[in-house]
Amino acid sequence: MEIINIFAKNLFAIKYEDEDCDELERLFDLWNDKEYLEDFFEINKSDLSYYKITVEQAIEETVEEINAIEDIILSEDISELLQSFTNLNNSESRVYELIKQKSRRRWLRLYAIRIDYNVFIISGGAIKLTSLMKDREHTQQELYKLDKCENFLKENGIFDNDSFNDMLNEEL
Amino acid sequence: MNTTNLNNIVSTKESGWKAKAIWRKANKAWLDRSGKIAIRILREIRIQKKTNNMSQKKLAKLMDVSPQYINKIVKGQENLTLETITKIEKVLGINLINVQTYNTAHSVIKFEIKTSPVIEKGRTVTLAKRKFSYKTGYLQESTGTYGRN
Repeated sequence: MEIINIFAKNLFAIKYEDEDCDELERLFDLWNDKEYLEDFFEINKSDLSYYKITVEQAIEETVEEINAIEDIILSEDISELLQSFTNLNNSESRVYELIKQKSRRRWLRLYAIRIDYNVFIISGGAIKLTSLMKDREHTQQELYKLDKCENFLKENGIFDNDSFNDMLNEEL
Repeated sequence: MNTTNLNNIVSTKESGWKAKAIWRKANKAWLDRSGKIAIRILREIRIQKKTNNMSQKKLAKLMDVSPQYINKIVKGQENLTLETITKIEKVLGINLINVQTYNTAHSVIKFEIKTSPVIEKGRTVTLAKRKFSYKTGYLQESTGTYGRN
């Protein structure tokens, strides 16, 4: 597992051993692949009934959101993206060590471990159509990846108590 | 944060994302069209699979091209020629490009409303490069209202 720098000292992405590239590159390759999107929304068509839209409309909206996220990161003013990260668990409001967070745009999710006030390491991402991540295998997989990423950071001493206190102070 | 430890384990490798993102942005106009064509082809293959066992492989054979080329097309990242588009249209019996000889901004708006009826309330949509906000049952622009009976 490797940590790849994406933007300045704020945004990083994990590269897993069994992947050819880091998670941000992999996700945008995947989400820009229309064959993947058509297949994904066809397979998960029943989940789209909640949104009352067709597969074609879902693909169209996804493409718009992907372009918007990519434009934000490319603009080199990624504060909008960084500020969009919230706790993975909606009912959790406190900040704690190596907190798992998500950035959401429509049903697109980027998952990350927040290691400092404005420092995030992207562990993965998904198209999440259901309310709970454990409801679908592909989102459940992202939970495993978040755990894996958290353990990797702990093993490499990325987190310590001083940094946690600093982060809490920044929050206040 | 223990920045020393972070710096120690950050790879010296660069992410390939940025170069690809810049390319996608620079080529967005034709990539958007290529993507829409790809989706239309994929949906048609799925429909025809039930009636004539259509597949990417069968389409490739009927067009006398490689299955790899068809796969590239349906990923939406192929800068298609008119010759290829016409071949696909002929084999699948569909129309991928409809060139209108006369059009007005007004008729484009009507067309898009008709084909995209599901718009969330409160959401702003852009039609024919003009911004509208969706009210209950109609679209409102600063200069006028569309879709209201």
